[in-house]
Amino acid sequence: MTGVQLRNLGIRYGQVEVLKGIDLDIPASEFIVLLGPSGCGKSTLLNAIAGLQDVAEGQILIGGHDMTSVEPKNRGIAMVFQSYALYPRMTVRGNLSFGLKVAKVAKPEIEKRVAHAAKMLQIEPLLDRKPSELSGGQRQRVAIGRAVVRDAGVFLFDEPLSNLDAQLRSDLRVEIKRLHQRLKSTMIYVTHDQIEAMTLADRIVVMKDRVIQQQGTPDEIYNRPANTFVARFVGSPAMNFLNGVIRGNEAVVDGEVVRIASAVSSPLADGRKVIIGIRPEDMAVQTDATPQGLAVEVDVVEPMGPEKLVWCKRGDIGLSTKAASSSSVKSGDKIRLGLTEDRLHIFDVENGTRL
Amino acid sequence: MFARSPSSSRLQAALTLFPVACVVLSVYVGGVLWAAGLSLTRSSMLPNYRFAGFTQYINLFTNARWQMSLANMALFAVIFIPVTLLIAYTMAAMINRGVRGENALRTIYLYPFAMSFIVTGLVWRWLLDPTFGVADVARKLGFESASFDWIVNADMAIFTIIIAAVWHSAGLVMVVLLAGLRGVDDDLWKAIRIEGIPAWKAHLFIIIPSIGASIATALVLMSLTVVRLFDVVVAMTGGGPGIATDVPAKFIIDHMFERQQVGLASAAATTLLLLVLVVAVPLLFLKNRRKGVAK
Amino acid sequence: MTIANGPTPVRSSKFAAPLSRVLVYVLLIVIAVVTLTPLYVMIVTAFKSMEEIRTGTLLSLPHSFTFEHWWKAWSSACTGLRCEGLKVGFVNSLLITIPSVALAISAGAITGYALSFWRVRFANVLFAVLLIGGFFPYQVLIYPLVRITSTIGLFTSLAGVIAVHVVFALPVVTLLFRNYFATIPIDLFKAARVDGAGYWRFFFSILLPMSVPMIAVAGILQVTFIWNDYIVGLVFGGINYAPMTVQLNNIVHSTYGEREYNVEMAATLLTSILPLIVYFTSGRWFVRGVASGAVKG
Repeated sequence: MTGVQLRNLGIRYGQVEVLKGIDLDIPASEFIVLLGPSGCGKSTLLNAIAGLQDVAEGQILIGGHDMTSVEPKNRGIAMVFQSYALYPRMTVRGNLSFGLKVAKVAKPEIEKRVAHAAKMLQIEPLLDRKPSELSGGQRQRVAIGRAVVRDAGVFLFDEPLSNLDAQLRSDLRVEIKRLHQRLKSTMIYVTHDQIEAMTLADRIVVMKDRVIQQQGTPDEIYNRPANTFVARFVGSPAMNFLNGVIRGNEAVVDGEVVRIASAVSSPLADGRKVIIGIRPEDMAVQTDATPQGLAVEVDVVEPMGPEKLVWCKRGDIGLSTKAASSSSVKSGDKIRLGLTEDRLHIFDVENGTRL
Repeated sequence: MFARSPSSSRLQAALTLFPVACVVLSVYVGGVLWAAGLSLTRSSMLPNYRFAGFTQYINLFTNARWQMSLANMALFAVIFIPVTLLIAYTMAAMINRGVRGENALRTIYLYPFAMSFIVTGLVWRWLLDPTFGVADVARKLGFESASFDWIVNADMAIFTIIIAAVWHSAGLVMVVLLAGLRGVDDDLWKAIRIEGIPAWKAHLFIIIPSIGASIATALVLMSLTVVRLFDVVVAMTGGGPGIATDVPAKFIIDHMFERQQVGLASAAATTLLLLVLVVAVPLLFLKNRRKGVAK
Repeated sequence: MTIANGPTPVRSSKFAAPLSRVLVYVLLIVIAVVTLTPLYVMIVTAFKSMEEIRTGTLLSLPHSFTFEHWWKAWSSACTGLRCEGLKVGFVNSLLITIPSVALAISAGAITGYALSFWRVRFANVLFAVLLIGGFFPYQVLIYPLVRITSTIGLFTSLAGVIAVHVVFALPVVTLLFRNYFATIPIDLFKAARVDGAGYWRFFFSILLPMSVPMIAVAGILQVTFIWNDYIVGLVFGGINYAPMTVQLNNIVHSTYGEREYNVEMAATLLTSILPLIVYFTSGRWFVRGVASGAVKG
């Protein structure tokens, strides 16, 4: 099976350095997601792995072989694009078999693979249609099918679900996961949608401004974010941030004392300024005064169905929390929010890294 | 962002461009430079590389026929372009409001463009014939003293050519302007109506400025017609009466082949070229800058 | 920029007073009539006898429809030294137009392709020069082309005429194709590369099939333009390969004695039949071609 390794990868557009010093080790059969906002460099990285983007320095190894200067068609990869990129004047069958024809694969073999992929993606009835006659979801299945017939060790996905509506997106998300379980190929998936990342990935690589912020399992990314960016980017609604000052084992947040001992890896100096992060679902609405509670006033309540989002204010500070759908909290209520000590995340105030 | 292109493909692309590059270099660059060079020689029937400085240009601009050609071209431009624009814009604006049978109308308006300029010239020569043309129709209808002899009148003949050219080009300009008008946001029309702006003001101050690109295109197309004017003159008046409807293009061809004064003709051609560059290139520049801004 | 394909629904958000609507229709119809009149006169005159022409007016209908003038124009009118009619010119025009259009489109498509997807260093410069060259008046280029074709031995040969037409057509056709190719999404190109398609494979298997509308448009415009050309045929065709337009002009302008207006008009019509047929059958394509050429500038 084919793993992918990136060693000290650097990419330039002319004189501009776009990526530098990227090291990534993707074991075979892993489903890895490159996650980040637009412009963070994830698509550039994917294109480089595909061989569609020149590499200025470093190496790309696929299946153990140095593929840094090898043509895309010879890298053993397959790619699925955001805009499907189906050949408009060919039938679905034509689209699926084109790459194989170019590679001079024997006709019976081509037919076998096309039939197999069509069955896997349930597009058999569409084989003689042209892309313009298909819906968005069908087109994306064909695009995935085109990748499947290549029998490649590595699948590359470039934001494949971004052009689809919400329902289709979740349907196809499941399909892709199923595909991975079935084919067990290595899959490298680029997206800006953190839900896709969390649900699909074995491991997530979070990128921002062309630098890898953190690599880890979805659990690690969510529960132990390496910096404030990762903490804010993953999780909806976003993590709450509060400014605090260290005092012994505790932090003083806007006059309230908060225990933080179990949240930091090593004790911190007194008087140090920190950022304290806590996810909305880790803050509980308290109706009586407790040792660790922040007094806030309820601003807006958004009923989401399974739960309610409660947006609160404390002076200038905005906080969000979740309440049960049966809760009777309403705008204007004065409540206290409890901060669970071991669910706190403490970050450095200068560079945002986890402490 | 271009995908990385393998060097073999880039080489193939370069190779494919090679023949075209040869043609462009030899004809569009080399040929023009050579022609310009010839204008500085004494060439008459065949190229004669004796340097003559600017003699040919002096001969040219003191030549009565050339002066007439230039004057005709200027007159043509000054009348043909605004008149065609006005007619075409009016047609386009009316059609843009939404009329039934738009396809049929458009087909009719554009068909003159499918006719050769020779055909155009010959037909209008017939239509404006002093004896048998439109004047005859008027006479036979009762206007006994009607006459229309512009085509044989040295002062008026050029206007007959303009008429023929407008007939030929109005449809095309209309199509271009209509495409531009169709690109105008519907909401803009609604805003104009709500503010109660009168039609002529709306068109003049709001709509026309917003279809600048189409107008620029139309201007380019018409300018090309003005400069290239040749066939229609040959067909309609043969440059006459006398030299009354001579145009630069005809002057050049005549002197190059019939009168065999290659040097003089080259000077005229070079002048014409410079004129085109001075007018067309800034227009092109403007268009591309607009496109860049729009992006 | 697209043109709506059918009549747009009446936009009531514009100045829709009933009187002005009537005015609009009247004006448009009047212009249509004026535009059609020359064609009408051409047809009508071609059927009349000289007597009818003298006694009637431009607009009057012929008494009888006889094709004798048409036939004369076709097979026995004098086009200079020979009196074999326009049929000679018709054949020449076909021999000139078809290869010229085919070659011009091929050259334009291939050049447009090479300029679009592949970063060749001198390509942009080449394209700019080609574009500017498209604005040059023919007259500047005629003499150099005469010398070049003479040197190669192609002057006054069919190949020479075709070559010159292709040279003149290159800027426009290349521009059309290049602009069209620029609208092809880059992902399609990437997918083809991943599939292993090389330079020519991508062009023939994927790009060309997608370009059929553009080929049609370019073809229609060039057929019209080249068929209707006068000056290239005049200079480079010589006596043997004079196209119909040149012969037509000769028929009308070199008649000695009495002018036969009916034969002249018949000849004019015969010369226009092919482009008019192309025009009326291609309708929408023509407009689209003009519009997309218009976006180019």
